[in-house]
Amino acid sequence: MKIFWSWTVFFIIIFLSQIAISHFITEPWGARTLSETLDKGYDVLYFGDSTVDASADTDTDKAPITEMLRRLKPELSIADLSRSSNHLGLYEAMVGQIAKSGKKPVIIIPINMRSFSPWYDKRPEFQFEKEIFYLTAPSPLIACFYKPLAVFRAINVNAVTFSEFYQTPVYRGKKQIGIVADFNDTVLATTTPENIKTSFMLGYMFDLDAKHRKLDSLRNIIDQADRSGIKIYFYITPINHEQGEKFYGKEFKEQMEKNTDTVCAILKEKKHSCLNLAFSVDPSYFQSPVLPSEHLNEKGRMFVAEEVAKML
Amino acid sequence: MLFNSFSFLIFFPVVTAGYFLAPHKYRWAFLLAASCVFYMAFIPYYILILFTAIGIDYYAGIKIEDTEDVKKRKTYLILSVVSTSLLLILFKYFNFFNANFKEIASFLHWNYSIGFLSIALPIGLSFHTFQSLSYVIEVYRRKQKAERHLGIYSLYVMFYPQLVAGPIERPQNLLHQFRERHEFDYLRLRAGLQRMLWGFFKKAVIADNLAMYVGLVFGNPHHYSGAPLLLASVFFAFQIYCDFSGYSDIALGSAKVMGFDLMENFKVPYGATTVTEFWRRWHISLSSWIRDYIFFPLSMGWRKMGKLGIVCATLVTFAFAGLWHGASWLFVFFGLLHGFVLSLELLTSRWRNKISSFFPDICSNIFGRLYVFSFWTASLVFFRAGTFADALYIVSRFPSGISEFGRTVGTALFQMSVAPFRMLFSTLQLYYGNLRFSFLLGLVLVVIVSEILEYKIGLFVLLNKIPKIFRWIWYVVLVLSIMNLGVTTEVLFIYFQF
Repeated sequence: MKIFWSWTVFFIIIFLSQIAISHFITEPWGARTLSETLDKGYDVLYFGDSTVDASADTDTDKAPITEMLRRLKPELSIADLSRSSNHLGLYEAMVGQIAKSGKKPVIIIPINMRSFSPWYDKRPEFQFEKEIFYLTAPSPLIACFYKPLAVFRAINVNAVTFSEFYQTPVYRGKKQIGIVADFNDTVLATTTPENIKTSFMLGYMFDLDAKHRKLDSLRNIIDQADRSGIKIYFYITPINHEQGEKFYGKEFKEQMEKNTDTVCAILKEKKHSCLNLAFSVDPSYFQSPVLPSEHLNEKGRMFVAEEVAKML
Repeated sequence: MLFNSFSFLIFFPVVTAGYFLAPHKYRWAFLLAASCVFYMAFIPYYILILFTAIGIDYYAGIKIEDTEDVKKRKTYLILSVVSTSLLLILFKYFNFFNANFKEIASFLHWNYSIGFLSIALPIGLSFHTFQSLSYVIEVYRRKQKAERHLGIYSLYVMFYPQLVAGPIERPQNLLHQFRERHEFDYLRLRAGLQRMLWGFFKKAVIADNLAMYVGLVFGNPHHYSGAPLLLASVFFAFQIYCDFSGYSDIALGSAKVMGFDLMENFKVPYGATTVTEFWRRWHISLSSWIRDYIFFPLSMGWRKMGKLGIVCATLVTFAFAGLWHGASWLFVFFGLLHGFVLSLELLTSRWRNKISSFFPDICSNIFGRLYVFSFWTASLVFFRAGTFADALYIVSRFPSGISEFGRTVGTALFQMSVAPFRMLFSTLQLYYGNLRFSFLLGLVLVVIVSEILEYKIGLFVLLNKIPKIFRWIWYVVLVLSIMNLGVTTEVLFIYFQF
């Protein structure tokens, strides 16, 4: 009997410790932040990635877009649910969780065109399997056992390994021009004109297929929101397109227009408006006027905040 | 079925409980059925290959024992060895030999039109083939009686704890155990589970986490400078050890729970002070197999050549050992490298003993271990790298890696005089990117400490001496570590590919 009770206590300790660890230590950002935010009953939930809060060194006002929006719309309570590298796949899980909660906040979702590029889409650290599992698990208890279930392959985590990532094809339009391994992160981090030019191509000049998995996520987001009566506003984040055109001429603009049209077509098909800000600003609105980054400076963030305010 | 899978977590307690609940008369059948289920979790119809090999060697063993005619005995032995080996050659080496013949034919402008086979390697083929060969050879040598019970013999080959990655058992050790009555024993259960838990920790936490960094660097070696290449190579040495010894621990532990004692496969190999000693401590079941069935016969046959004969036997043996690991010239080179160094050690043993006698034992031991570890790490690059060119590139960067690493650590240590201790790890972590460098280093330290404890007093001996409460805390820590620090991407047991 003593042995029986020893084992019983042992398993209870493991069970409770795992719940504690997963709740207090390893609970992922998305699940924790979303549940806390929903409890507070915000009017507007602003999703997004680093384009929401990145700022330039020269900014006097370093407020994120959400803060600027609050100033424009003081009557609304706005929660900032942005985090670097977030994307439509994660938003899909978040919207699902909001729909389950029965709450009906207004949701704003920026769509970053770079997030569709193989370079970003297949990056292992951007898969957020854990966050998505926590948000979509049938019960919080199962979510607590995410890690052990994943370690012992009871659930298919479907992570992308680095070796798989490095073998991912890279495209210019519809033509494959190599694999990710051919374009070294470390090399591209140095800002030579050649590297900047390559970065523009890697980030934007793929041909976006309407069957892209993130576009499927977009459709699912809209369907879930529509079923639950949740209002969602989408906008496509600004791109430093003039700089891209300097390197690639008309080809860059045409490819970008084609890709943004693909996104807008889905929104229109689902009877949602498409605020396309991809070509709305010149390089002076960006954190860097030269680099292929969607990060905006003060002027750029204020522009986006004003456009979003007009939508609301 | 993988050990680190949810299905095994269900399979193991069910099979263990079923084993003890089954009447002793039928336990062999129950275990055999369970082992079939275990094997068929991979590619089900491949079990027919296993049955074929079992049938051949079972029949050969009986025929060898039943005849006194030397020629007939030899014929049955050769038939068994050739047909069993043919299975291995067909699945594992056909494409390799075919590719080489194609190259030669192309060079000689011959017409060569045999295509390649696209068939998956049956899991564990190299292991259970050697185990079967060992049985037939021992029967031939009259050191083992032929097993007349087909079921017991089948279980000898298919016993699930050691079916897919060893240890490669000898019939003298394992066969008789299937007839012994094993009663449930709590202390034995505890010992087995302790071993399994430690094996899971080594595999899921240490080996798999190190594998992430190793895979990153070895996947694109030309993108990295000397220090990351050196670091990845060192990490790989720990990864492969924890991966394989972890698997062996799980195998030995799960067998022990049911009362079976499998042979030890590792004995603190990184404590060896010569490469010769290393191979008596690393993958012992394979190294003893190739020693008994390849090296000894060859060296006996070439004994008239004196030391040259032993050297030749060593080189051939290790070339064979390298080839066993994989169908590639890289593996052959790996084997030959070890054969060469072993031969050097043999030829210089007298001088080395004389030189080391001038130094205190502790200095000789430290130097010896550093020498063995350095050589092993460098040789493993050929084991792990995708191509010969990549392997040479990596090894050639070691000297610059050492100086680069030394400068980084030196800078960090200098900064420690004005900054908190954590600066050391922050600096190194920044240097090597966002890959939890200090965590990986911590894992390596865990291995080193555990190996020292194992060497000095025995890890499990120590564990069972400490107060019960601390022992249970240790179990809780290990289980929670496996559950939360294990890797969630697929990282196969390295030796599964062999």
